[in-house]
Amino acid sequence: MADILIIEDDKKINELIRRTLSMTGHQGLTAFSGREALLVLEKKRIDLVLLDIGLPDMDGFSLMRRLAEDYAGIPVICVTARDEVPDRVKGLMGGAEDYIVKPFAMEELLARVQVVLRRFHKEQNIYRIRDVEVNLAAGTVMKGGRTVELTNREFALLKVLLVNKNIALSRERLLDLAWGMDYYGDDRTVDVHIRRLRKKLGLEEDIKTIFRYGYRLEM
Amino acid sequence: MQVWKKNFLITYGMFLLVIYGGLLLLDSYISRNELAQWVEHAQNDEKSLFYLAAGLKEEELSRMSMNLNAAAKDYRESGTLVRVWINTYAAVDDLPEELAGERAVEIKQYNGESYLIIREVREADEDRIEVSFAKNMTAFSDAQRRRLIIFCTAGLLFSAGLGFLLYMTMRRVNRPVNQIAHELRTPLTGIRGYAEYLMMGKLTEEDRFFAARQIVDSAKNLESITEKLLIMGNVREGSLQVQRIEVKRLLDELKEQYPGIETESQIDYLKGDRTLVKCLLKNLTANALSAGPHVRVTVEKNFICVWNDGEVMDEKLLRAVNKGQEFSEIAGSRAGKHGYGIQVCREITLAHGWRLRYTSSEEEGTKAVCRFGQP
Repeated sequence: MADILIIEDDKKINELIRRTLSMTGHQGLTAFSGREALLVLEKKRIDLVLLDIGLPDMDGFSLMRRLAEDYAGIPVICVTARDEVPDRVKGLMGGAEDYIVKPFAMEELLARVQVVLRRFHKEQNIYRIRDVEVNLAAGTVMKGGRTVELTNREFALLKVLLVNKNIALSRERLLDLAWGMDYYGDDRTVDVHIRRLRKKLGLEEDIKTIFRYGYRLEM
Repeated sequence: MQVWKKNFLITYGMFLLVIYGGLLLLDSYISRNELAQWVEHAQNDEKSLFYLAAGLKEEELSRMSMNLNAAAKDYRESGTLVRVWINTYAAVDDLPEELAGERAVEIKQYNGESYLIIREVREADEDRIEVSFAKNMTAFSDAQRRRLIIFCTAGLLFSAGLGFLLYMTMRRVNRPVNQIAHELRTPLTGIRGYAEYLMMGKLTEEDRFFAARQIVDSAKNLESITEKLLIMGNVREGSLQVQRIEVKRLLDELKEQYPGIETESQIDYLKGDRTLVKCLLKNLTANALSAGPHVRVTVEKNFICVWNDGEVMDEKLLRAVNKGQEFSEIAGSRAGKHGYGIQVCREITLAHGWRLRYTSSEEEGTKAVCRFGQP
């Protein structure tokens, strides 16, 4: 999984992002100022930077320019309270891959992180759950060395659960992510597909039902 | 574009319409009246000439012509051209053919100048008298044009001045709203994020407690920001209740809240709004404590001083806080997270007619000095 540097001066938010990223298997490294961030970057190879624009010691935009000069190739996502169009434009034109405005939903942050990692080919493609091996890039699922045939929808649902592992996803969210925003399906559609996935892959214990909410893949 | 800017443009556009519409109406009303008077004047002149011609028609032709020419000369000198025909005899004829009109009153252009043409044909004792009178309007038109230019320039200056004031006022009214939205986002992110974390994640009891604690802290932060904003709102509306405040009691309450601080007082009472002065001292002390562990609050005859031995404030930051910049402008600096506190202190001192100034040096530490009048 990816090593993600979180540059955010608010300790609570920094810790929240770190915990959420680590739930999905990423390693979150924290920095509370621009200087601290540069020290971390010198010592460690980073796959993605989550950058708050309002830092105590330097402007986030200047730090982004510095990153572009000295650490080209590390994608940056701006995570900030500044929601005005000029700030968004400045951030995106300054080299940010994405721009997230506070307050944001954690699912949204994770989804955007995933998209940027995929764009930079840093996304994890192979997942293992006990004897099940899923290759997202190849679109194959093996169980105990044997190929398991999944329908497109089942595979899409499995992929959403894997990418958001250890996170509870509501049935509506699963419908949105696996079936698409324009799908007007029933919540029971999700239940039926989850049941099939559990049966085909033997993941009865791993895909947990969250009462009156949805499902969580625990790994 | 921000909503307030759109509102400003709409208001300003309507304002321009009203201003220029009003000015143009006024100008057109004045011009119409002036033109009516001017035409009436010209008609009177033409009538005089007509009666002169009617009175002279019995005289010998050469004598009549001489008298009419003498009158025409005076008109010519004032830029008016005349033609007097009695039957088929041209007694006076200064009028070029281009200005010969058919209608009783009309305006014509000749050699780049405007002329008002008045033509009158009457029968008098079996004679036919025709008087044509062309009065040069150029000076009159120029005067009207000059007035229109003056009106437009005055309108432009007035609308520019008023537009600037309107823009600054709308910006001042709307900026705090943006800042409030901006500042509330951080604690809101904490509350929403940790609530989602509690709901979505597979957590231990310790994690749950941690997340719940973060939510409580963020909510407290939100409450504190809201409280300060309300105080600022009250101060700005001018709801100030000036009373005698017992300094010792005030400092004791402060010490109760911040036990580590030193307090000293040279006076027994000071005059001000008790709630606001308490809030001022609380904010100054909280800011001082966040900079360094040793804080001393001194109340003297003419000032309150809050001293700390923490990190020295850099020149840029010192200038910013002394200039009274809005908290968003000092955000991102060391004062950023205390921006609201600084802003609240500034608002409170201004409301009391006091003056707040920060100084900071290695030798003397950092001081926030609030100067006021005699208690």
